[in-house]
Amino acid sequence: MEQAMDMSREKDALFAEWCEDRESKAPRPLASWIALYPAHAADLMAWASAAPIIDAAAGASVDPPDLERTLRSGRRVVAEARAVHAAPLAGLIAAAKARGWSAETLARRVGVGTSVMVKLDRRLIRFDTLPGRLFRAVGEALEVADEAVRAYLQRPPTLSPAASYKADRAPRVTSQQSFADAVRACGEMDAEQKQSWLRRE
Amino acid sequence: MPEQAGATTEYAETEAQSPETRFRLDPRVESELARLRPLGAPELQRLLEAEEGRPETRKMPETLVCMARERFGSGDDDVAWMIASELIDRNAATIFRNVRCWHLPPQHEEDCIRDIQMEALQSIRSREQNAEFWTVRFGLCLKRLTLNVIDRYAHIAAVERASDRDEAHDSSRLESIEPPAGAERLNAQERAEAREALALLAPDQRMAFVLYHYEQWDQREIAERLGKTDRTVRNLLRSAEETLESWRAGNAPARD
Repeated sequence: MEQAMDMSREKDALFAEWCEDRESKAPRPLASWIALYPAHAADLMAWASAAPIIDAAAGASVDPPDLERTLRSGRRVVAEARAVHAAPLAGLIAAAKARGWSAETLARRVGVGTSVMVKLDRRLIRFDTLPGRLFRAVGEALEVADEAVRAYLQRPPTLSPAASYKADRAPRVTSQQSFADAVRACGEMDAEQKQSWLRRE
Repeated sequence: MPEQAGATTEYAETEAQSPETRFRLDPRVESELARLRPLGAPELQRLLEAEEGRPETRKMPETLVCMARERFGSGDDDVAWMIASELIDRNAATIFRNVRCWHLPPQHEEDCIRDIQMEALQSIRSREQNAEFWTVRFGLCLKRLTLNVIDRYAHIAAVERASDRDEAHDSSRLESIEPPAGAERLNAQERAEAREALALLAPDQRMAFVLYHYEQWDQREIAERLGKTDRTVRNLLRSAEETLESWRAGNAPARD
């Protein structure tokens, strides 16, 4: 994941550098860019082949009806995203699945083990033991407000949706674990990851 | 490889920036943020409305991205959405211009614009590290995102155009083309004129055409770089020239 992050930053920086150079008085030829950044040859060629078209677009005027249509489209996009965002979190793993991720992917993005993530999802970890940076990490991964994560994790624990029970009344979960205990017990996190979560904020 | 036409070998020395410098917030953004942070929703709305039609007073888009993310994080959703919406509004003309020049069929054009707006909104909201460049160079990030989305649609449009052509012509015709190697290159004026029509070319044709006429590569280098044979590159160049020729004659594919 870190490698993907570095690659993404590298591409951002390269695109910026390449665009700035294109606007300079004596831009470097594409061949020289490729010689400098051979790993990004395909990107550089794709950008170069689109550049003349985008350059031609720069000075074009936009008719008011076209602008109006584009503005309307943008407002619809914002309104739809807002409606989705306003709905309370139905579950951390459910929200991840809605984005096409598995529980493992969400756990990896947050930086915890899958077993910790499953416990968080079922609220089997005491809310008062959760570190603030966990809300931020989950909020960032799911692109929801930290407050929404906080509100979800504060609700009562849930039973496994896969379990079936014979009692007349719905059973309740009575025991919750502390976050530190859940992290210590997690077999998928390495010592460094555990240490980073266990240190005091 | 040959030098770019018209360019001297003395390239502009762009100031080398370390990744840390490149990803640092602009001091103007920092100072705008310091002034905006204490404001509540009504004050911010008034401020943004007052800036309308006065670009010189507008807050930098990077400032607005930072503000939106901070407000999303703290649960101040009304303000966050207002700012995000403002950013999408402000860039409507740019997005439209950049999509229109690709001559996509109307339905694809509409979908393409919508996809760009959706993905831009997602990036504005994202607080993940790989979206941090949006707080540093908003315009460039939007440009790259636009290119990525357009690329998807340009491929679809190219496939559709190719199948239309196949219905009209013998599909084996392209294989029979054997143009001479080293076709004449376009001059600066012809290159400038052809820019508008490049979007009508299939991605492979466009790549070969731009590398040959704009970057002054020779056909063998293009073939090596694209992993194609010399003959395929010659065919790509010839078919690209035919498309541009028909565009020059006023026979560009009509937008249906």
